[in-house]
Amino acid sequence: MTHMTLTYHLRVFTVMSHRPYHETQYLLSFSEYIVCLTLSVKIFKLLSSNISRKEHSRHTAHTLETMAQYTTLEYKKLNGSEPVLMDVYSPTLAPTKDVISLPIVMFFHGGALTVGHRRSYLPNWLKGVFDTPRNTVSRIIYLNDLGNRPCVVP
Amino acid sequence: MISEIDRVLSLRYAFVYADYRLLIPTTGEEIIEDIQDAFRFVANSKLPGNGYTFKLDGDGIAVSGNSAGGLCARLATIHARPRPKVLIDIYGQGGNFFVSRYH
Repeated sequence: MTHMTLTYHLRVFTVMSHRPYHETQYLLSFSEYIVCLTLSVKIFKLLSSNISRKEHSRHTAHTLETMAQYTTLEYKKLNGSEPVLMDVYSPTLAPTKDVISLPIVMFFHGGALTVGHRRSYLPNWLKGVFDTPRNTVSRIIYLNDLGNRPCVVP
Repeated sequence: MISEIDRVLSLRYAFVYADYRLLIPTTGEEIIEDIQDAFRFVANSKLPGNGYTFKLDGDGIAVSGNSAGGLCARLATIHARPRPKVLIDIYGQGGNFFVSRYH
């Protein structure tokens, strides 16, 4: 990986300095090498700090054709280091210090179990499809008594 | 346009959209593990709302997913606790992903 990055930077320098590639392939001066290294470290730090700042703060999901607010949480860690994330969307309620009880709808994305992520494939195009009784592709199965909770799908 | 999420939220439900690991090198069993862990986390944590904190209302949990997510939702009704009260299977796919080729 380091070797690839270095080679890339060497190529960039070749273009910038109008020197033929074969002459400069491994002939960077020490100062040029340091500049390359510093730049790449700075870019990496900038990118990673942006990523970590994005998590654990509230966002508006424009991409899912909704203005709903969500918070990204880590629900588990793989091998003690790699986080697995979930987006929690919550209804607009009056702010309070009490802990409110809410029913939750869990959703899993499609993608043949091989592609996709938690911001992909929300089936917005299904809006209204459930209204037609002849639709047999999708089904709602009530596994248990809903109590007096409202039905999500009409 | 009003999305499915907005419709769910307008009925005073919370909506959780969870990542799960994807096949190869991940196995079917590990996907089920992720689904179970997502349910366990949601049931045992205080979750952030906008200006408030909330927790799961008893065992009032529903599960949904489209395509492969429909299969995940179906697996959740079998393997996850608390057991979902409602399964909304949106053209769910399913197959023999416990066969040896995925291991």
